[in-house]
Amino acid sequence: MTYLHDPELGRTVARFVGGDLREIGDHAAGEVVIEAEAVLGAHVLDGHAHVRAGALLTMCDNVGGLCGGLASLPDGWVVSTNLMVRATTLAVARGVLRFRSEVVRRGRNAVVTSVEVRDGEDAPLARGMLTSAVLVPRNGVPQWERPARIENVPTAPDELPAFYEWLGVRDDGDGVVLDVFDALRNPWGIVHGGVTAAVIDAAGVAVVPGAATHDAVVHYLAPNRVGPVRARGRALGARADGRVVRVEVRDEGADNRLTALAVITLR
Amino acid sequence: MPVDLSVYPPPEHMLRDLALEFEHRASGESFASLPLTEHVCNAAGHVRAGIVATAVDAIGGGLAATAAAPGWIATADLTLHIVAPPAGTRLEVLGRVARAGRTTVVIEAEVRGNRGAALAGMATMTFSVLERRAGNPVLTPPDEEGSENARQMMANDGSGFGQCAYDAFGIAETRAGEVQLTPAPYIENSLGAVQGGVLASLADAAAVSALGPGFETVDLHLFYISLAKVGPIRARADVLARGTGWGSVAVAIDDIGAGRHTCAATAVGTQS
Repeated sequence: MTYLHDPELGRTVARFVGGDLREIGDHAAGEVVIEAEAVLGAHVLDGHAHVRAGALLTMCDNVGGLCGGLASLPDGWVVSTNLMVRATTLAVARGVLRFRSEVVRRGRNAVVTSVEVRDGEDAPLARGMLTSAVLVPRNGVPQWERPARIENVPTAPDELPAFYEWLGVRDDGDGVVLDVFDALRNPWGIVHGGVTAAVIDAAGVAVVPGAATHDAVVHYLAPNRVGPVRARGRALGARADGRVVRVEVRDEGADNRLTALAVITLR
Repeated sequence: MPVDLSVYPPPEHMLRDLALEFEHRASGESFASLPLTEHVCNAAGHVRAGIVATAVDAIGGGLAATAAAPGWIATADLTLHIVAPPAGTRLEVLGRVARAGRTTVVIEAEVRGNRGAALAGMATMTFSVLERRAGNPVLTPPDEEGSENARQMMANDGSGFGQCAYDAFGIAETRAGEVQLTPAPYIENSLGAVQGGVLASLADAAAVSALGPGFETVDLHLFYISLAKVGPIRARADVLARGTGWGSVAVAIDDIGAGRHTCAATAVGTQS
């Protein structure tokens, strides 16, 4: 089952990390551009006031996904297949992130969107690319009022638990584990791609304690549906820009199937 | 699965000069190797990232085409992480299918040198599944592992570079951070566009040009947007960040003659 036709379902993760997403492109002319602003609460920051990599990846997935989804209308809606984000820093000036997403390529089966991220002083912070598969939901393509707007603004962000604490990600000595609960599902009814990215970040940090993911390439191979979801990291090597870790994600409750592969760089 | 080499690549082609060798294994994995000559290495003696990407793309293409049969494939994205220079006289790549779907195939590959067992890098690629068209290479199943048609050698008599491989591809620096090339049959893929590995080499050359002397590319992420067919094909790299001994760049590759964006890439370079 999907939550694509009920705006209240499948958006908990997006609301938790926050972000006010607005469509600004000339949609009547076929142009899709999304801008977003997120005022970061303590729940998505670490002890050094840096944005948690998993939260940044989730926001990139949300913004790039909305852009790709709107671009895929009326043929279908999108599900993330490949997310790449390169962050120059995770230190966020003024605690504000601004996003801009544009369509790079719109194909029959896939759409590629760029995501540029700047901080509250308009300095570049990260650059991302999201590839999404265009699928037709069983109960039809969702209808959107255009220009689209999604206000994912938590009412009391400083009262929320820390992102990873809320997710319940834990290190059990054999990688990190996440139990799946309904709030973690996206509008398709599967675990949000940003949550999977956060689990990947946590698995990387388990391999390189004290470091944070700055570069990530995530291939989403199959949905995480059942759980527990387990991510195991393997150090590949060290370079001047950080430690490179390969992470494999499996849905243990779904015959332990491989659901994502990632290579991340932590520093 | 082996490709009918009488169809692609043509006798004079960069894949033949790279002297790529393939071994298709019954396990479904494919193994590729090429000699690490001075012409595929930088001044520090390390194989260039674009050459590694070319080998990875070639092995990934073979695996993906097999998984997509009877359809054909095109590279959608390629990421490469090099963690140490491959040591030895040959570059070795072992690839396997991570996911074979209706519209995409995802490949993962390990990169090593032939001396020592240390991993030198990893690559992942997504291939889009296309409808087969006339002129697409034909795949022939190997008889058995180790058989004649399970091993393939790209080199012809006389194959090999007489100069730096990037010069042979026609890559020329136009100014700091900007390089370009002209499409030619020598660097084309089976779709008649500039080969994905050559575009990776172009991105690598632009990144190194932008970061400055002494840098070499260790990370490449490429998203292939449209075919590069007309030319000139120009890559422009802009520095995103610099740290101690490393820098990252964004690379835009455009087909100037066609007036379209061909490839979006980012790269990380470290000082060798």
